Formats: sequence, C-alpha cells, structure tokens
Amino acid sequence: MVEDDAEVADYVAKGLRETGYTVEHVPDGRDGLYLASSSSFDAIVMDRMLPGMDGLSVVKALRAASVETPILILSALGQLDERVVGLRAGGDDYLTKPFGFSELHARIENLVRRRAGRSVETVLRCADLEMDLLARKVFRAGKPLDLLPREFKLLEYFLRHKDRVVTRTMLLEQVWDYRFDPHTSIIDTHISRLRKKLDEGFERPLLHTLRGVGYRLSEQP
Amino acid sequence: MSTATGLRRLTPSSFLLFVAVLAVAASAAALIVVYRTGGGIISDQERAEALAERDLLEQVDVEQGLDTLAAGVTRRALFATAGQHFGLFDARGQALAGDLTTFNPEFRNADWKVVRVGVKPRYTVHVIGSTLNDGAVLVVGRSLSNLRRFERSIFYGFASAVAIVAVAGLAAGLVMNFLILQRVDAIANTAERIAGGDLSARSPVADGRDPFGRVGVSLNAMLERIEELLTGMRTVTDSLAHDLRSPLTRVMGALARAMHEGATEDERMDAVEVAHDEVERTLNTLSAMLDIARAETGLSREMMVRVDVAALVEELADFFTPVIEDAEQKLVIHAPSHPVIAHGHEPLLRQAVGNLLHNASQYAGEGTVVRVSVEENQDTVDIVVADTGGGVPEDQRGRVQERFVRLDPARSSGGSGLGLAIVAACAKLHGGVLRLEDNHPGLRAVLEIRRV
Repeated sequence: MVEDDAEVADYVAKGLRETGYTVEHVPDGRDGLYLASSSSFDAIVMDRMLPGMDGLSVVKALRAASVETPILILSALGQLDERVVGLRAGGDDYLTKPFGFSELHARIENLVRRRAGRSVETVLRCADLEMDLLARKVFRAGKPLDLLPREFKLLEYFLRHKDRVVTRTMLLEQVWDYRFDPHTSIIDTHISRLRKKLDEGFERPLLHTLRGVGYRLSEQP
Repeated sequence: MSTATGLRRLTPSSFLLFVAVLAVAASAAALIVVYRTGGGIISDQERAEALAERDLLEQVDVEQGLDTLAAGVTRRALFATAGQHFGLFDARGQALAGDLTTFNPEFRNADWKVVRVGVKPRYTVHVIGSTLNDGAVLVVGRSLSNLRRFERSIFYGFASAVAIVAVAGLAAGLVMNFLILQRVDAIANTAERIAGGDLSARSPVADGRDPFGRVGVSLNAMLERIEELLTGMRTVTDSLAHDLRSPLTRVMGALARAMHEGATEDERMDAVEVAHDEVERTLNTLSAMLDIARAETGLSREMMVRVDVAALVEELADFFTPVIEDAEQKLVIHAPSHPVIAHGHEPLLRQAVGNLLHNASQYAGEGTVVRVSVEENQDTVDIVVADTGGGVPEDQRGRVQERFVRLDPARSSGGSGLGLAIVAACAKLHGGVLRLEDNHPGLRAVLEIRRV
C-alpha cells in the first residue's frame, strides 16, 4: 500500500490484516515504485497524490517495466474524468475517497482472485445453477430459466465472482459502465428481478443481500 | 528583429508623419518621371515639326530660287503662331526675310541648338538651320516657352498635389488618430472599471464588424462569462452551504440516536444506516458538483472520444427499464439501428441520459408513457426523453436547469437538485443545449449534442 495519509493507511492496513492479508506500507511514491518493482505482491493499493512521485506516474512506470501486479488506485479526485485517467494509466480499478472498508475489501478480493483464475470457461456453475455461455442459456436444477439479456449479463458477473462480495458501485461500474447512481435504487431493482427468477420456487436461495455492503452469489447463506 | 521592435515602438503620431513623408516622396518621384519623359516628348515633337518645315522651305529654294523662298519665309513668319520663328540671311549675314533679323553664326547647320535671339526681350529658341547653295542661311526656330509652360504646369500641379496630400492626409490622420484613441480609451476605461471591481462594466460597441468593434464584443463576451461564472460560483457556494447543512444535520441526529444509552441494537443499526445513507448522498452531491464544474469549464474536453450515441442510449434505456416499469410506466425506445457516431464524453453522456430517465420515472407519474429516442440532424444529434406526465410549467423550464433547483417545495423527493444541471452542463460541453419543451401533455427533454 502506497499512501501518505497515515490515518487512511492505518485504517486500511488494519482492516486488511484482520481479513488475512499481509500488508506492507510506504508513504512515498518513489519508495512505492521501488518496493513494487523489487518484490512480488498480490495487489497494490496506490494513492494518487503522493509525495516524491505521484501515484499515476508510479502506475505508468510499473506498467512500462512490465510489472503486472493488479493496482487499485485511491483518490480524492472522484470525478468522471479522473477515473478514466486512472484506468488509462494502467490501474485495474479506481476507488474514490472517502470509501467504506467493505467496498475496498470487495474490490481487492476481486482483483486478487481475477488474477488467480483466468481460464476460458464456457459453463459457469454455482450449486445447482448452471450457465452455458455459448448457448446463452441458464438452468437451475435442470430447469431452464428465462432471463432477459440484461439479467443474463448481471448473473454472469455474479457467477464470475462466485462466493465474493459484490458492491452496488462495482455492479454499476463493471456491468453497466455507469459511474455513480445518485438515486441508489436502480441496482436493487435489477437484483430483486433477477432474484425472483433465480430463487423463487427453489428451496435454497443463492443470491444474498449483505446489509450495507452489497450482494453475494453463493451456496452458503 | 530590429524593424519589428521599431514598428512596435512606433506611436500613432510618428506613424502619421512617416506616412506623410512617404506620400511627398512618392509624388516627387512621379513628378521627376513625368518631367523627364514629358519634356522629352514635347521637345522631340517640336523638333520634328521644325525639321519638316525647314525641309519644305529648302525645297522651295531648290525649285524656285532664293527670291521665292524669301517671299515664302516672309509670309510664313507673318502667319506664324506664338513660339514659331523663321529667318533667312544672305551669305554675309544680312537679314533677307523672317522675324529673326539678327544673324548668329551658330545658325549655320544648327540641329536643335539652343540659341539666344533678339535684344529685348531676349528669347531662348531651339533652332534648326541649314546653309543653302549660295551661302544663304535658313533658320527655323521654336521658342522654349512651350517647354517652360509645361515645366511650370508640372510644378504647380506637383505643388498643389503635395499640398492636398499633406493637408488631407494630415487631417485624415488626425481624425483617424482621434477615433482610434477614443475607442481604445473606451476599452481601456472599461478594463479600468473592472479592475476597480465593477464587474458590470461593459465596453461600448457601435459596430461589431471592424477590429475595434470585435475587440469590444469579445471583451464583453469575456466579461459576460466571468460574471456568469462568478455568479454561478456564488450561487453554488450558497446552495452548497445550505444543502450540506441539512444532510449533515440529519447525520448528527442519527448519530445522536445511535449513541443514546437506552437504544437497542436494532435501533442503533437503523440510525447508523440512516447516517451512512445521508453521507453517501452528500458525497454524491459533491461528486456531481465537481463533474458539472469540469464540464462547464471545458476541462473534460480532453476526455472526449468517438461514441455511438444510438447504442449508448439503447443500453441505458434497457438499464432503466425495470425502474420505469416499477413506476407503472411504459418505456418506448426508438433509436436508429445503425451507429450514430458523435465526439462525446461517454461517462458524462451516460450520466446525463440516466438523469433524464430517472427524472421521468420519478415525476411523470403512473400510467404514463416514457419515450426515448435518438434523432439525427445535419450537425447535431438529439437525445430525446419525452413523457406524458404533468410536465414543467413554461416559466420554470429555465430555472430547473440551474443547480439545486427543485420544483418540489418541500425538497422531500431526496434528489440533489443537480440532475438537470448535469444534463445542461453535458449539453454545453458537447456544443449543444438542453431544451425542455411541451410534449402535449408532459415534458419533452431534448439533449442536443454536436457531432464533431
């Protein structure tokens, strides 16, 4: 983690350590570049405005040096433009300050796991739910589910992030490329429709709501 | 380099002097050319005439003898026009005929020689002479007065031309100078008033077509913009203070409830959730404010790329379908099946179209139809979201595009009041406008964007 704000750094590092990560923290851009290019990490949390060397330059330098470690950029510059700039520089995800730890955690999990499994799959599964990506068909307990294209897209995202927490903003940004939802209820509407088709009439629900955090598709409640 | 700096140091009056000197020099050059060639032409012509006349008289002598020639010369001299002179002398220099009575040895075989004749007044005459068979001398002369007259008229012409150039040029220059300085002064005065703090000062603009008019017009446009931005900023600061105070007050209230000793775990969780939602909404408001500011100042321009507007609108309409359906409304999408390419800021366009759809779902009411369409024009693309709801009164349509304006007086709908302001800023960034029209019934919002 490259972050010069000691309070944010402590808050994030403490949270990550509690969830089982090992965290190394440097407050300076140049030190961050050195550390990231000299040892191997699962993910990098990079602040944008840093002393020594700014975060975007560090990201660009790392990518230029073929360091492919997933990078989550943190920034207080939350405008539409800044996100695009951050991702163009080579960041994998962008999170605006202030943020909740659960949001950060979900995104880091996403980055780390995405890196782990990158095989080309044609069928995605969760318990008795099965998605055939080639035929674009979905079955639950062998019975076909009639999904609209947008519901298919949403479920595919959940299946690719099986057992992981997915936040509303992650869905907005990554499924619909929509920056923020000042009205907050759109995603809930989509989820409740998907859930109706997915879980209604089946004994065991698969799509779970985590209060104040987001959603998770999982066999376990 | 040196001429450039010299030119820059030139003041209007010294420039005027420079132009006057240049005009006089040009006239003088013209005079010299006219004088030289004009004088030459006149002299050549007179010489040719005199030659022809001498040849004619010589012929008389050869054919009819000296006596007949003498009579001819006498007659010729009698009918001579001013400036023509004739003379015939015998071998000893005795005058035989003509008005030239004093012999001059130079007459012999003179070819356009300048000779002084007579005692009082003394003429200067160009002469052609020839010595005849028996030693007699025939002289045909032309007075120089024609040439002198020509020279005089050239000189007077030149003098009056210079006088006119000098006087008229000076006068025109002074008037120009005065006009220029007056207009520059007016602009400078405006600038000084603004520097002094009076932002409402405007440069007088009589005619926008000449350079000074244009300077005035662009200065005024600049001032208009500055004033608009400053007023906007003031409004934003005021509204921001007001709009942040209310959610923060609610956060305070919720946190106080959570901290209350007798509260149950569930009550605490509820209160914390309320606080969390309020903070989130406030952050969204701030975020939206920054997006608007960037779009309005044009800073977002560098993020613009080729965008398929038809696909973007269709995708967003699809995204909002459940929301519209939940509001008991019907959504009709009408977009061309081919790509409609425009130069656009994709995230901002998504936000803008999303806001229009959200507004329709919130305010049009149950049982209404929401129609989304993309209309292609020559240079623009219109993204239209029209509903059949209650609409917006005509006198409020401008106001709702401003920041923090909500027609709902209680502000209970939970919106930030920035939705349409973002759409308007988006239209502006894309070189277009947001038009709110009557859909008979309902509201028809047209987000116009320029293709290039």
